[in-house]
Amino acid sequence: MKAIFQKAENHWAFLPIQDRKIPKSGLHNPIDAFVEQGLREQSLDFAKPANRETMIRRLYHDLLGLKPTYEEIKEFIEDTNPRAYADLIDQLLASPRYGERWGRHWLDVARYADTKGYLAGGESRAYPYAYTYRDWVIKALNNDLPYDKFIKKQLAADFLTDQPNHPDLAALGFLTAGPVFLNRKQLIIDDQIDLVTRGLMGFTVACARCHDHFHDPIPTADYYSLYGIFDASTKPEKFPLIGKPDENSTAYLEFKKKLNELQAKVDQYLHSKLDFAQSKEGIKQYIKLSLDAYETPKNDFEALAGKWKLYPKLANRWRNYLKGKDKVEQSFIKPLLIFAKSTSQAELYKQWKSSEQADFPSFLRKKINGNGTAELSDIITWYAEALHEALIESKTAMEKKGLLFAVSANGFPANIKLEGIEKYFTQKDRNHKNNLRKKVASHEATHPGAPPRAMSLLDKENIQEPHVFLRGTFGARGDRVPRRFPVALSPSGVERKNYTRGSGRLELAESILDTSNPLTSRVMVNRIWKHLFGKGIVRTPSDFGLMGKSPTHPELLDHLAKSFMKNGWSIKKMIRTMVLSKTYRQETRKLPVKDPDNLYLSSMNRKRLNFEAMRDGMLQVSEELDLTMDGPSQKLEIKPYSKRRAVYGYIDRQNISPTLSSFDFANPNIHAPQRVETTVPQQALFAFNHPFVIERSANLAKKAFDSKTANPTSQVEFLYRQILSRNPRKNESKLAVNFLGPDAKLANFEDLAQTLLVSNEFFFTD
Amino acid sequence: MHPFLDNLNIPRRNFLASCGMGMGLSALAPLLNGQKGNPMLPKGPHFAPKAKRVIHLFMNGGPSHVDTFDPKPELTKWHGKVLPDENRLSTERKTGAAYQSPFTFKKHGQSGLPVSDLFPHVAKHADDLCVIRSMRADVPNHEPSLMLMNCGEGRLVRPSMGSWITYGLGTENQNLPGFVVLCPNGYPITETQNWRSAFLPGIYQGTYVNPAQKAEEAIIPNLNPARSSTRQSKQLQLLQKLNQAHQNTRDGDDQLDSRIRSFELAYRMQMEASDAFDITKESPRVREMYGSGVHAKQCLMARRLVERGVRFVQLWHGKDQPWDSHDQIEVNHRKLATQCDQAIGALLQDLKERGMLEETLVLWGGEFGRTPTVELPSGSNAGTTSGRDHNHHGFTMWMAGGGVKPGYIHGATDPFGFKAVEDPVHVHDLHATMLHLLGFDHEKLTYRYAGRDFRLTDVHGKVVTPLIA
Repeated sequence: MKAIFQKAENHWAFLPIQDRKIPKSGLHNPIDAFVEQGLREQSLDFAKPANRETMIRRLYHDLLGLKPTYEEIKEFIEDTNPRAYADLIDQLLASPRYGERWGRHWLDVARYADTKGYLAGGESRAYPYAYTYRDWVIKALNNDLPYDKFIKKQLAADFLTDQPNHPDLAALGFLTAGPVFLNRKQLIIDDQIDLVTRGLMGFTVACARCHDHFHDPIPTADYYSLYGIFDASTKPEKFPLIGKPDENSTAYLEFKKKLNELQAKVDQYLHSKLDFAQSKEGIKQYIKLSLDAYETPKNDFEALAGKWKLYPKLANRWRNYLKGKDKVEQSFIKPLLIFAKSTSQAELYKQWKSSEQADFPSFLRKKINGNGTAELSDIITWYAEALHEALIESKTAMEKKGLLFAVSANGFPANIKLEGIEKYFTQKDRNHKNNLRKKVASHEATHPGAPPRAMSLLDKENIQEPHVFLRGTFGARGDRVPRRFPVALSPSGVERKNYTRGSGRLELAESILDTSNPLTSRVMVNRIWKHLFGKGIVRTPSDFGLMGKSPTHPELLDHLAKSFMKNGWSIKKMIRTMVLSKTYRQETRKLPVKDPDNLYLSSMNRKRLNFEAMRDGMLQVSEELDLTMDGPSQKLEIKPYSKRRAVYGYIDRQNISPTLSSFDFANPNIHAPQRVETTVPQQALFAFNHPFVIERSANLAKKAFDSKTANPTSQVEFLYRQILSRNPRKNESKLAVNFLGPDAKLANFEDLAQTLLVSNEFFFTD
Repeated sequence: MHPFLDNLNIPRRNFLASCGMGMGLSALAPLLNGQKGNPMLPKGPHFAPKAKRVIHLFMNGGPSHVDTFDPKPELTKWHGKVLPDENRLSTERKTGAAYQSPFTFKKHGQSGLPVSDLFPHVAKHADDLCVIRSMRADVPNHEPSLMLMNCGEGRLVRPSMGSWITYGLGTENQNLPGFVVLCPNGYPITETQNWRSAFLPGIYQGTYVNPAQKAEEAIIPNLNPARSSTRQSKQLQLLQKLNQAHQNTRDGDDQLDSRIRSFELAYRMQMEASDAFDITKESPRVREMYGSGVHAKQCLMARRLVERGVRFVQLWHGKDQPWDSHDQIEVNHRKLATQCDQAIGALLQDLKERGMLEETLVLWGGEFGRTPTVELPSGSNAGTTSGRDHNHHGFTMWMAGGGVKPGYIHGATDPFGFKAVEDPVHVHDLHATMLHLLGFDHEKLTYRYAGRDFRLTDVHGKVVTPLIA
């Protein structure tokens, strides 16, 4: 560990972010000055500025994830105002579509999904309210919430407001909407640590769970210092409402009605089971079984209970209860036990009848008086009847004496609360109950009228300092460690502060966002850069440690990180500065032999559409895109297809759809540093055959086919303008007209529209 | 060859035209130039491999080793008696006295390898089997054991073995997925996690196929052409002309070229992939050898797939966990073995006849075995004492082909079959050995992620050299 700390001492990413001197240059944007310096050293030069058409397409893609229309491009090209480019940037950054595009980038970091992942036994996997986190992110980005506040709220929104229903509580979904690993707490926290450290700081703490990190300066103790923070936090019983439902809306009324119905079914089911356990018949059977098999070994006894269709564990409790009463001198149930054991029951009963049994419970005395003979089964029935009635009476009785007292005791086996009956359930009953509960959850998750709730987090009441778990084994306790920030990222020479306010989540957020933290700002500007330039300055965006890649432009990275903080952590300002640069506005071109990976940025990187941009783009050009924002997630791959933007799509963490994974969608089971980009035939199969593409082609074709100026040349022009936002060139027009053939049918137009929709021109942005 | 490809008026027509079905790797090489974006291209391992592909027959739920490949005469002697204390181990549920196997074992082949009467067809290939009787896993529960067997880690999110292997080797037929998973009528327990790619690129994830599906339904997503082949081939010609023109002004960008190529591949995939899954193309003799039913179908599909260059085929017995015989093991194991024995035997026979077994590593087994003691009734088997609980302390798997030592028994469990005591082979060791057979040093097949290099065997695993021929 010492050697690693020594190595880390001079590692660029752990050194303070410095004010870097801007190289002398004729270019006034510091980004360009730094890039120019690098290019010069390599004897390279900037590419030509891209033309206006390219630039508007690029900006729409990068800022909105959409395509400009033919008219928008035309207008921009013709705009003679020297501020046209800057105005366009401002206009796009002000569009709500911006938050949707960049919100999705953040959701990759946050490993967002609408489900919990694998769970057994029919337990509901849905996160009904994960969407409120997604909506919060989109809104925060659209409002340009400063990045420091953006992070603080995602880690500690509950510290920042006194209102129990504050909409910002939804931000905590960042921590709470992760995978649940079969409800193993240790792994849930491990995921939270990984998310926070790699996602926000490019710092790979999760590696230190079992042993000190092999490559980065992270001792195991630091892992458990963070562990303690999350272990001291818990989800509330019920997530808080964060928006008032429109009580009179049909959607809400429908939701409420159905919810009550579904909830009632759960209650009814539990009641049916509880009622039997407390009924005369139920009590009779449990007592009868216990007495019948009084000495049978436990396993066989439970098996027998199964055959009697009784709950084995409850039967066991009954038998233990009776055995317990057997041992004491005096008990209301003693006569029954004595009777059961008697070898001459008829005799015994005669005896009972012959004299007053003063210590017998009164109901029993009455029954004996009224019955000339009785067998064991009769006596059991009398008891069952009396106990059943006492149970009912005890629920309302003010004073509990005698039998009422006995049945109200915690130890009385039939004294069960409604929820309490569940613990006796057989697998079959449990599955049935889970299925009913799942219907409630799924209703809450999917019904458009369900009022939104925040997936919030609270501090626990009793907070303790965490133990180190030796070799990462849960429960193998080593030393206690204080909750505090990792040593490698804390200012040197100063005693590390222990976190004392509640769980310490707010203090953690403050440490992460402290301007002396060498990582946070660098990591975020690098993420922004990556989304605009195609590749990061550091090409391992979530690993700035010793195993990560070095920055191609370390000084530029520092300059950006500093100015990000100076400009109030404004993401929009940072984007604006970057896209105004000459570096950003270059053409794409063939890369020079000496820089095949374009490390020095001698041109712009060509970008391809991700799944969302491709899908949204197709809906957009067929004029079907539905721009409704917010609300429960939409299943994207079932018909009729949702026309909303893909960011509102439902993501099943457990079974990620093959379409999404073949298009390199970020795996929501773990924090995704960046999307890989693969080109595989499965993507082309989607383009050829997926009904979604076929539908969009059909709609476009219909528009072309029905257009009034129905001659092939103008129809081809229409499709080009619509899909590729430009006019066809002469040879293209000829090619397309030929393709349509004489007397073109609707089908020919469908084929043409589809071909343009899946073309490389549609799929890549220069 | 498809007539359309010959007419495709694009620069690559020459090699495309030379690209027939079932062609070997070297003939494919030119096709793959300029496909830099395609991560599925065949890649060489660290050293000369003995096996080039894998078929994993996953008996999910956990078949009982003392009823199949690990005979224990002692159990007959002890039947109904409580085992000595030192031989009683804890498993998921409570178990009681020793429970003898209701099945009869016989020695088979020249090797004299014992196989129970559950697997008469597999037994015919006794001399090809390399039986590991000393397998060990970590815990007696399905979920983590499935994850361990498939991903080398019980709880954390790690890539599956099939993903690692396709990541390491790519695949030899770009018209088919490199890693195919067959499971009739639904998913096993833990579902798609069993073939996940985790932090490896999504394309290495297994492609799930339901072999019970009718051939005319889409076997893999979007495989069935949405348009007639005349229409689609016209579209492809136009598309490639447009893309070519687009690329002409954007020189030297591999991504553009890769995507152009991916459409050609996809077009061919529509034909070849459907063909690969169409077992009606097999001769009556072969169909008869495999028998009828979905297991015959999926074993035959598996052979057709590996024959066409698919790298890793995982074949599950059925959805959920069919082999999980907590009760009535005699009836249940009999039924399950009858379902798959003939097909597995035929698969081995067929691979041998085609000279493919040598380079195909076949792996058979569950996520663990079962106890030699009877499971005591509770919960799901209330009232019965005729089954066995999960057993991770010791169990059997076998391999065949792919460079393993044939007709060989490795390791041993204790006299009752509870625990692996001689030459134990942990699941990590099995993985290390399989990677070795495929030409990899398991410590060097790594992927850098989150600050360190990850591998299938994590920090564990030893190659078990006695298993190698």
